[in-house]
Amino acid sequence: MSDTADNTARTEQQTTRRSRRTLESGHSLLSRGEPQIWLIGGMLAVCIIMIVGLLALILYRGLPAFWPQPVHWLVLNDG
Amino acid sequence: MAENAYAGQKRRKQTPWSVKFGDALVSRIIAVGGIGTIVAILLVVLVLVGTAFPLLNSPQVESWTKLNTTAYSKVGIDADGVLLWGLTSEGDIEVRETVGAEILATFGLGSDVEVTATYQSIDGRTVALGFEDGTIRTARIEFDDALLSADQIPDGVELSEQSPIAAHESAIWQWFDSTSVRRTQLAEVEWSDPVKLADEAVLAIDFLPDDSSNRFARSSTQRAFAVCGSQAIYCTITEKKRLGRSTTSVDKFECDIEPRAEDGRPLQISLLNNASQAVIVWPNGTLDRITIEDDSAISLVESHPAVFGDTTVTSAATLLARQTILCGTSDGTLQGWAIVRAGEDQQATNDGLLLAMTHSIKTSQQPITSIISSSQSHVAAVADAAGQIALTYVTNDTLLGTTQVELDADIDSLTIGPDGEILLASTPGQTALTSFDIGHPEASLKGYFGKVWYEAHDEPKYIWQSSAATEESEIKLSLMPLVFGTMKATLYAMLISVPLAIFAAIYTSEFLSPKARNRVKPVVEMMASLPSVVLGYVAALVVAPHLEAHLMTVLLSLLVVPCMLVLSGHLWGLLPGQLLIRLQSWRLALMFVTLPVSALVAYGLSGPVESWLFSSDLVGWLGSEDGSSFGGWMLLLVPACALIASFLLSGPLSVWIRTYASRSKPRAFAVFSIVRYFAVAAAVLLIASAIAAALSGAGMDLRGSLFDTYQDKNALLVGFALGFCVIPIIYTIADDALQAVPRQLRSASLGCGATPWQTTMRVVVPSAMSGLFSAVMIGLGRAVGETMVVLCAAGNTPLMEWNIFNGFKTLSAALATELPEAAKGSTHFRTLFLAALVLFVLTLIANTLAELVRIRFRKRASQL
Repeated sequence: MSDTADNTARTEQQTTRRSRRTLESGHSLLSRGEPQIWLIGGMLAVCIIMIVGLLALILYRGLPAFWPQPVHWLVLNDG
Repeated sequence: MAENAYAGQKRRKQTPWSVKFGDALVSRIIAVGGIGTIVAILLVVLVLVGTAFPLLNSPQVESWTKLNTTAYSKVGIDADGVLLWGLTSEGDIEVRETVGAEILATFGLGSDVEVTATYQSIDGRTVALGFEDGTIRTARIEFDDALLSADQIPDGVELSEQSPIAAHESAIWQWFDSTSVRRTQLAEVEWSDPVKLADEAVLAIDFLPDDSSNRFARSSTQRAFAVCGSQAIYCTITEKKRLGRSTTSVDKFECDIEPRAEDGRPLQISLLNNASQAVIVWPNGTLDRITIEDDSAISLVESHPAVFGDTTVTSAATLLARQTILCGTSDGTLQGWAIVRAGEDQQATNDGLLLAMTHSIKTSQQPITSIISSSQSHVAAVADAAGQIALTYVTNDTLLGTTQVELDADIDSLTIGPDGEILLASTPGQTALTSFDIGHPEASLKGYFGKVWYEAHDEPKYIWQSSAATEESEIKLSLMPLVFGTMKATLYAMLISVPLAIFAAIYTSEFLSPKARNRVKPVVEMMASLPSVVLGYVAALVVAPHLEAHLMTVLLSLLVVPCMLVLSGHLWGLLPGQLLIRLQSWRLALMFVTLPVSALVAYGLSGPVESWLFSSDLVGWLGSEDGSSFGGWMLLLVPACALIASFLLSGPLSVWIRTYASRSKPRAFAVFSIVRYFAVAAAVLLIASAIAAALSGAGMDLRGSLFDTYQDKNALLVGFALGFCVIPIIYTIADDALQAVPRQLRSASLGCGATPWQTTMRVVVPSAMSGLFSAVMIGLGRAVGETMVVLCAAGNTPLMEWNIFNGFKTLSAALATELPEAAKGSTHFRTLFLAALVLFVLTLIANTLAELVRIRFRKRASQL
């Protein structure tokens, strides 16, 4: 009796252990640290957006110098 | 080499001469370059120290020349020191040359009334006499300089190579250069008509000539202040010119005073603060202040003791700008008294002003017998009963130096020449003169780094104001506002750049594929190639107007962007595992999407938040004193609480979260994480608003310290622009440091089952700590010395406030703007070199600290 009881207890223990090992628990999600990775990755994205944005701004403001804007021709009502 | 032998070629056993030569040449060039760099830096330091060093020089006083004269009550001298005049007790003016003291001319007063009071202006060009019959008369004393050619020399003048100077008639002749001579004489002294002030004798007199010396002016107003008997009298003498005729009108105002001397004679009376105040100094040490209300009345408002116990005041004078009165005491202390606004805890007088001792300088142990202010700066010469003359810079309370002169009696009158370079000391029978070089009186440790009580200020302050408003006011050269500005710029720049750059570097190095890394890194490094003047220019002209218009959005996005990123990370965890692995390469792209989304969220939130916290006008709220202080506290407390919460979650609370996580399924835990995220956000908001409500209820307001009036060039703007400037440096060095961590450490960690995040945080970052730290410190050094960004975007007002929303002036910006306009060799010029030296020392300290810490970290890393 005692043997079988021991055996069943052991197998139970083994199955739980195996299930813990094979099935992903929330702990593995926590260890992946996705929010933190997103935070530091976002900082890189901010840096890149800053530099690209600044270059774009300079180009946007600077390049039109090469294509002169048309002079505005105003005609008054009385000619 | 073995292959060569196999191919049948002989193996060369000797190094060819060209290699040897190249080796020797290059090693020498490298040695010269290395040592040359150090020498060049040392030379720069040498130039800085060499230029700043003369600031330490004490005044140089030449030897004294003694002349025997009659007793003069007032003495004056010309700019060259060749001609002096003295006012005799009868009121005559005698002109003497300064070699043999022979009398060249005498200008009589033409009156028999006894002179009872005399006055000489600080520039020495105006004298006033008070008479026994209660009248006063004034005169201008001008030296008449003429440059004549050699053939205009009259016969009597004997000028030669041996005697380049000669006295003839009433003039002094001296060679100017080989073909011309200079004639110096005293212009005819014309005494004004007597003005009757009182029936009693005038005991003391002060006089202010019309300072608007416009010859076309229709009217001129001269002001006189006198003590006659037991009355103080203020009078304005207005002269109106019309059609060639002039009419003079005299307005008199009197008030009774209590004579505090046996003979009723005050030591000194002075009109101060543009003739709105007058102070009477009595020998017993009492200062009587009389306020003068324009064209209405004068009244005695305050009597203030200047000394205590047995000490008496033995001499007094007015300081240059007529805002400070100087009192010399019997124990050898020079005191400066000014009229300041009364503080809240002080007992105010009728007009809310008070006499306050703003300066005190111990000049000797002997009683002070005479004081005179220079007409060029706030330098005062002080003579004591032992014949010692001390030169002091009153503003900084500095004793510049002393000189000794042996005369047969106590010095009763000191005079400083019109250029501030000649010192005259007179006794009743002798006059001694010397020339001196005052050096750099403004330069002192206290002046540069201490609080100084400047004229027209109510308390001692740190002020940088390198060009004076008027000729008479002092320049203010406290380096503290500049050092403060440098620190403020650095602090805000580092607050923005360090998290951005270090996190970006960690992500680049640890989570990007090598291919992506090779594309991203040059893009960030391109920031470094942008000239900083472009950054400053863009910040000042393009960003600044938008920053003011969207201030709330910008401030909110500082909080919202990190929060949204963390939230997206949590949402990412919701995805099933298979999909996650497939989408892994899209993660960075999704992060890019998150940013505009969070910017939009910040923009959308800014309206409601601004109306909730700041009644829809943040800039207006900052500028005003009213409105609840709740919003300001929230602005500070929400980020602070969020930081504390994230620390708690990753520190003490993480054990609990971990046990919960290991018991739950991934999906359930992901949902739990999102719920937890929002719960924490709500808790942070609640706690922050509770604390903010308590603090604002207690009447505390952040306005006045951290937040205050908004200026369009401000520390926030500089923080962004300067941060932009430093990010690439920190990023590159940090990335290289992370890459230098050996591969096998990462492999071992990953092989043991750690996730990439755990590997990064527990293995890679700690072993690269020395590199990360030196990256930050090199960025700091760059931020301290950066010039163009702060020059463009900081507003360049030398303020000392921690307010995020106002400007400042840094050491480097002061150098850039002021060095081109500072006169070479002037105190200002040398002070700027001192500022450069201070800047150098600041960066040196930062770099040395960085190196020390880096070495410690490296030792620890090498033990791995």
